[in-house]
Amino acid sequence: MIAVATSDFASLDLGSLLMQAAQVQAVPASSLTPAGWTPAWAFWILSALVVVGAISTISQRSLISAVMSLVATFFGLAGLYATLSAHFLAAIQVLVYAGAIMVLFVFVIMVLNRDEVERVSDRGLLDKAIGAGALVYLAVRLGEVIASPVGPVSRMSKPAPEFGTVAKIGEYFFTEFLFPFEAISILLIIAVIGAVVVARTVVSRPTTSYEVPNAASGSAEGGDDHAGGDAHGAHGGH
Amino acid sequence: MTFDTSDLVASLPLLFLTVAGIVLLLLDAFSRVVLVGREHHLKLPAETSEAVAVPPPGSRNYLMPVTLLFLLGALAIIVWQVGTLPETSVTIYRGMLVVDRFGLFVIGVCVAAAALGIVSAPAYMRAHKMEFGEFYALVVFALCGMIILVQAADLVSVFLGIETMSLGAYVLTGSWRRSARSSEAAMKYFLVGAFVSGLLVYGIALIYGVTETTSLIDIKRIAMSRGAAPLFYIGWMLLLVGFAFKLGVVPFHMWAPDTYDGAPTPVSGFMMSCIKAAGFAGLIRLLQGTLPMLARDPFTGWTFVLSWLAVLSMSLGNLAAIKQDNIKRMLAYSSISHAGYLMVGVVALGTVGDAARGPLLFYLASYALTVVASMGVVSWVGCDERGEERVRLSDWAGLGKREPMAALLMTIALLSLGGFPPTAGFFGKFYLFQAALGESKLLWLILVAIANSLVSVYYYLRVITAMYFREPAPNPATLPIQSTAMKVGVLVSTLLVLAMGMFPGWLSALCAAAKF
Repeated sequence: MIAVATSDFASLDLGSLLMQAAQVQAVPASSLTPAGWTPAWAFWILSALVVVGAISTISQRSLISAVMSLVATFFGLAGLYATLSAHFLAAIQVLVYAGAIMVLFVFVIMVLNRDEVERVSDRGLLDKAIGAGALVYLAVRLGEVIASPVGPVSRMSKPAPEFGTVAKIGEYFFTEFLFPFEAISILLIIAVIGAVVVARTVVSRPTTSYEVPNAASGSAEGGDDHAGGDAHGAHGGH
Repeated sequence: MTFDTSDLVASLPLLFLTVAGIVLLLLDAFSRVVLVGREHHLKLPAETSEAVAVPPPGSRNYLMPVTLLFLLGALAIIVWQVGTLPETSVTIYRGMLVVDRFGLFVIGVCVAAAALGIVSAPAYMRAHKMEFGEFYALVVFALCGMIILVQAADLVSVFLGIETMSLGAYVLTGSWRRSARSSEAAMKYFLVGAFVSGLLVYGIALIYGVTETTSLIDIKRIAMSRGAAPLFYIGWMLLLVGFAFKLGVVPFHMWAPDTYDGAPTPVSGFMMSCIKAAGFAGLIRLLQGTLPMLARDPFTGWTFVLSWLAVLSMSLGNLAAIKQDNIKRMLAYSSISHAGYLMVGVVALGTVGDAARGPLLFYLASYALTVVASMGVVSWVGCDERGEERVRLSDWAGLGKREPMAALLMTIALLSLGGFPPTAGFFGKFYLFQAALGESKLLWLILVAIANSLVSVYYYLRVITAMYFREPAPNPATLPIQSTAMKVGVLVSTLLVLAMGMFPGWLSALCAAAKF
């Protein structure tokens, strides 16, 4: 997305993105594209991967399979970014989305351990009407793009070839955006401390009142609470 | 060369407080003493419990004084910077931050309010068995976020500042782990806040898409020369909604009563005073500093939008406050209505221009100090034997006899909130309405504001009558918190409120000099 620097923001939509992606011959062949393929072929193969993965994500009955399909989608997207010379974004896409976020998804699914959710498509008429409307809109916009010989791409200014590369983004981090790059560490430190503070004290029974346990009832438990986040909550009922 | 060392000097308050926060964290981590207040749920074998389970009181009591020293140091730096500042504003870090008197004034207010607020924190946390050392570091880091927001000259810094400030506030709100209400408050605040962050980023992205820049100066130049595209309107409206959420302005206020009510009282005071001040400063920089040309459009201009937000906020806040029996919740609704009065000031900025900025800053400062004072008294009144806060009106009955000092200081703070003459609140409203009257079109808005402040007198006086003229419950199980630091903090902030009301000249001169 950041590869598209345009003065006419209204033209930035799905169609223009697709057209720009389809006309990547002008972009120098990137190092991430396998040799021998033309980038246009790469586009069609990668977008097929994205679409098939997305359809599979919403149609799989097994949650883990759905997540794995999503991983395929993310890899396809990363490949598309790479052909658009947004190498940094491609790497981040793989590292963060296909890697970290998906691991989180898998963890959540395994922790919840629910085989199958009920079908969500059996909703009211309004939902279906909204969905149908969105589908019609998408079809019309796609049709416009496919029907027009040039598409809205011509109105966009092409970014410089190195725009979006790792080197260029690194340069920005240490020149123009040095302050946000450094100051975000304050944000991260708050996030880490906050996570510790919120997770530390185990509240076995949330209550607005506070009771002081006397020494006799505490003796059975052993001195464990001062260590902070411990297994106290596992006892549950006390 | 990315920057020179003068940038570092110019951003000294931010750097100083960042270092202070890290030092506080290290102090907390490396002083290996069992926290005071923890001893009650520290379970040990019965035979040793008496000897070990109660550590000497005050084990880590030095954290608050150290924080206070750091905050006073930051205030000194700010005062020094104001003295040495050139007439024009200085942009540092490649246009990411701007140092000017306006920003330094608001930062000074935030730091002072935080300093006066944290003195009541140790006693409060001990009484409610929630003491934890990271509290002070979190407050200081949240202040860093406020500094970034107030001094932001770029939408990237605006967002970074808002997020840093809010993240600190989320954690502080939920830090009273034994109170279900605190967790509920933090959860609501966090979910709304996360949603609002999405709106903010969306707005920033749209503005960037139209103007191809995030720098506020460049955005102003481009919007001036090219006129605003439709997407640009959507962009800044989204930003406006984001700010309105953060400031708790009706109709984006739903989180505010629960959050201010459920959070630990010193944290509520911190949020109502500092976050409000920093948020309004960011809004003023965005609207008056960047988009002055969009102010006066008949229906899409921001003065039109904000005047309706102001009317809604004042009216709904006051009406809801009337029927509150819980004093903390009443103050939360009162904070919503005060956000409305402040919005009147922002509207006046759009119509009469720079003349309204001084009064608006005066109002911000007076409100921040008054809130700190009133929340200090709410902490002071303490908790019952079950550890619950005594915030019901019936709990406060007869406070004038039991704790005459607390009742007197609360009376002054409430009179200031209601806008009575010898206090800061009176001159805050007086200057603000006077400045807004420079434009006759705003007369209706002023009338609504005055009618609202008359309504608000009812519920402020209700607390005062309860304190002085109602008999206490037959068996008052109240346990007021006895803490010298807390009393001194409340006393100092109340004296400042009185001083601002009796000698408003010095502060209003300072406010008038606080230019962009």
